[in-house]
Amino acid sequence: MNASFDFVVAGSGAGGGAAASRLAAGGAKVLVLEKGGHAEPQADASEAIRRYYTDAGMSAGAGNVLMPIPTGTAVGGTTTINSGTCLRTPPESLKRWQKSCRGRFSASAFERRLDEAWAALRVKTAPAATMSRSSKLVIEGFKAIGIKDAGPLDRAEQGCVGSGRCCFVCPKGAKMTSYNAFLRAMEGDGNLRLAAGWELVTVKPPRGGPGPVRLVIRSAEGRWQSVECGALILAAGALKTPYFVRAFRLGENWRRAGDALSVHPAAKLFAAFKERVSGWKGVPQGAGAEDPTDDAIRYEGVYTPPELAALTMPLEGSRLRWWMERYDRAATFGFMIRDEARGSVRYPLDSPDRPLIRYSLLPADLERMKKGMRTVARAFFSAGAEKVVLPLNRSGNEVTSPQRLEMFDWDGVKPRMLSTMAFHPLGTCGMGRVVDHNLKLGRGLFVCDGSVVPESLGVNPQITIYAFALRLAAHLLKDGGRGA
Amino acid sequence: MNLAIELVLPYARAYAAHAGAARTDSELRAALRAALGGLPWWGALFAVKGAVLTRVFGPYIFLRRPAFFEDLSPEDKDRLLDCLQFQRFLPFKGLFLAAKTVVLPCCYAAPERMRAIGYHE
Repeated sequence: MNASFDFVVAGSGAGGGAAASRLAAGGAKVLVLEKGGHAEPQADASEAIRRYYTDAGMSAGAGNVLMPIPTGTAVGGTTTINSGTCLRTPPESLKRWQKSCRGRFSASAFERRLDEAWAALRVKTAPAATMSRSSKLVIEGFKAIGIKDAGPLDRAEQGCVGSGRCCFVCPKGAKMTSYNAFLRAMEGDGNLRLAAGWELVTVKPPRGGPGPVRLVIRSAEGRWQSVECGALILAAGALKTPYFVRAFRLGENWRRAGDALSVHPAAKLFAAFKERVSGWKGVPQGAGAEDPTDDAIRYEGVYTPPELAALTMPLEGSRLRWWMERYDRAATFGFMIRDEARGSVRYPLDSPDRPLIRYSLLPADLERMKKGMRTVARAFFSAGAEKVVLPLNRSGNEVTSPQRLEMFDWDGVKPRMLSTMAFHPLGTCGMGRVVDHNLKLGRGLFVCDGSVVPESLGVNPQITIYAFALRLAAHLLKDGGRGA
Repeated sequence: MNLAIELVLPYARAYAAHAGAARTDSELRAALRAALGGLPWWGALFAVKGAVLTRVFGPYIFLRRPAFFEDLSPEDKDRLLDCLQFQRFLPFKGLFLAAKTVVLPCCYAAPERMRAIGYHE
């Protein structure tokens, strides 16, 4: 391996993949390190989780709630195992960032980067033909209860046929991951080297003056190599990038890295219908809606394939068996909230493989979670559901009518009872807090992944992260390749 | 790995029977090997501890019955599993959920279950 590059990018997800591709297209010599390998479709979704989810999907935040936080470890990072949903950065967030960066962050310029990412990802509205029956039922229900704007979502795809496996590696390769949208085209180019199965081990930045950043990298087979680069771009994700920043004391604000973790706490409801739903057919997240009275709550389609469903239902024993024997008649739909809580990620003993993620929901978050589940349950009953499972680990979590839903002891719901997951970890190296407005961490050091997003967005963040990456690449190329 | 599989096997066997899934020990061992082998070492350790907790200590801790999980009546098995599923003490709950990740696929992800609901048609 050539041991000297203009840029080394650690991570190939939305941030790393897009930045590396644009830097290479601009003439820079770029090495992309990706700990995982190229993802291949698996017949069994559980196998995809074991192979391509970080820590086999067992990463979790703990506080007043136990909350799995799935992220991807494969070429393309989490974009390989996400739903492909694209929602633009909320304009209010852009205005806040512009204000907090005292004008050095331009909202209008960022909007243009969003357009650029939108085009590169071939974003299009999910056609009705590929929407799952599960989603169609809930959309009918949403409209019946007055959420009129419920409808198809915009997705990054090219040739989607509705295989229903977005989160477990698209079997048709139709989802526009960061690899499909950015890296693939540049892989044959002499400027970009994609090192799948290689991970960053140590970072030694230049001290006291100009000089290369020295790295040690390691392959999955245990080979070690020293590499020098003009600049390192950390793009390992909001949960892993803080490890490097803290372990090697990178930048002036390294002590702040890992704090201010925001996520989108999310939950899904299962509903039993008389008719066959066969919800595994069609795009799982083809439809969604914003809550009409609280923009911090978003409803989005989700469907858990049968081989995984038992693991995600807050039921056990005979009641779980009842559902699994009728899973072809089950529909699912979910929601997520823009959180107000902030957590942290640390790596005890400086071990990169075992993050300690602390996260506790605030009362306002809990109220939104309760509202989200009530609304989805109401929509299910309006669509004709006979029984709904609430995402709560407590007795009585199966409700059989809208009346029983209203009579449910909502005041008794505590965070620890939630059967929830969290998506989209953001903010742990936030712009303006750990990195500057140009995502610069220190001399020859940059960060470009979800960790730089300074706040919880309330929308799926991949387009935002891509736009940050395109903005960083343009800045570095304009700045002579080093941005130092 | 073999020790981990043998520690989880009795619980998986009893759980599968309770879930109505007929599984031979060799089928269960193969499924557990795949499930445990795919986890990080600490995840596999949690899963083994969770299986032992549920099978050996769970009946006494939660039901005051000095018996193994497999010796409980179907109603008591349901009660015990509900106790752990709805557990407030997060360390117990974490171990139980880790055990679920390796045991449930043995029962509910089996090909005949999938065929019965028309999956992969």
